Amino acid sequence: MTIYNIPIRSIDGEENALLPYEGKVTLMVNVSSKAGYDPKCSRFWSYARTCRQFWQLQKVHDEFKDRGFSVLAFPCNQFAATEPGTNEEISAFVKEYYPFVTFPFFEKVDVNGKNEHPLFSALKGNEKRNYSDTAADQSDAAQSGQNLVGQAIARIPHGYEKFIVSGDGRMISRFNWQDMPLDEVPRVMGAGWTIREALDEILG
Amino acid sequence: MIGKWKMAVKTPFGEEKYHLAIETVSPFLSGKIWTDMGSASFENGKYDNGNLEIGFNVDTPQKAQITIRGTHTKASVITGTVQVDEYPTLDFKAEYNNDNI
Repeated sequence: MTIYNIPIRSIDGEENALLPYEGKVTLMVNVSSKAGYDPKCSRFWSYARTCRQFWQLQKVHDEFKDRGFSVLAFPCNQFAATEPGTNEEISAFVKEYYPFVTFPFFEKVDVNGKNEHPLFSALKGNEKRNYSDTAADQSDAAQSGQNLVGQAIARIPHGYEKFIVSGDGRMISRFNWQDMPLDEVPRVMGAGWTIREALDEILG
Repeated sequence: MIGKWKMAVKTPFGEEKYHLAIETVSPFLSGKIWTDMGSASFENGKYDNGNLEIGFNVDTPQKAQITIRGTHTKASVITGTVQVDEYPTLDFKAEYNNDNI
């Protein structure tokens, strides 16, 4: 039993959609196709900002796919409601406005809180969650997944948190939304290596 | 061409309005584009037989190269596309609006 056995559908509804990736190194990322969109923000730059994430994810997908690698995208609406649509709507939106994307999408999930998908519980690491966002704090805010005081270190704070997972299902490295796939130097909040450096080393 | 234009860019999240000021056409297109959030100048744009191309770099809100390509089909209208880096292009329409900016 590995992380790839956790039941989850593809965005088109196919069951157990992670299984084909067992044995591959993957970069699992919670995405939102309307990231950066806010009535107070520039619509133009919101789109450019989302394009930048998808574009760079696609670049590393293309660069490493022949070495047994894939980016896997998991739409999530928990960050500023930037992924409000259904799976069908998300799929259509991505095809229309990010036509360069070819890496696979999965069903829309929660990544924090009481309804978080077991995949993200596993990625965040249950052993690190003794001060968890739901278990340690029983307040309404924590229970609704919005606990800002006692949130766990493991909690995903933003869209585009990136987890590199080995072929046998171990979470190897975690990067936040500011760690861009094509960064040439690690960010302050990054994992100490860039995403491309990590993939190159893990893939051998 | 020289003067001020109201420009509307169609994005997947809705339309966004910009002001465009063209200051010179020959030998190069130059001017400024701005919103309430900021502005950028350009000085080495091309204009040839009704077709224009403007390129400039910005540092905020992210480092990016902006390319505007358009056709000046009518005296008071420019239509074309805006592109950030290599991302998909977005359509725009600009209308001459020298008196109202």
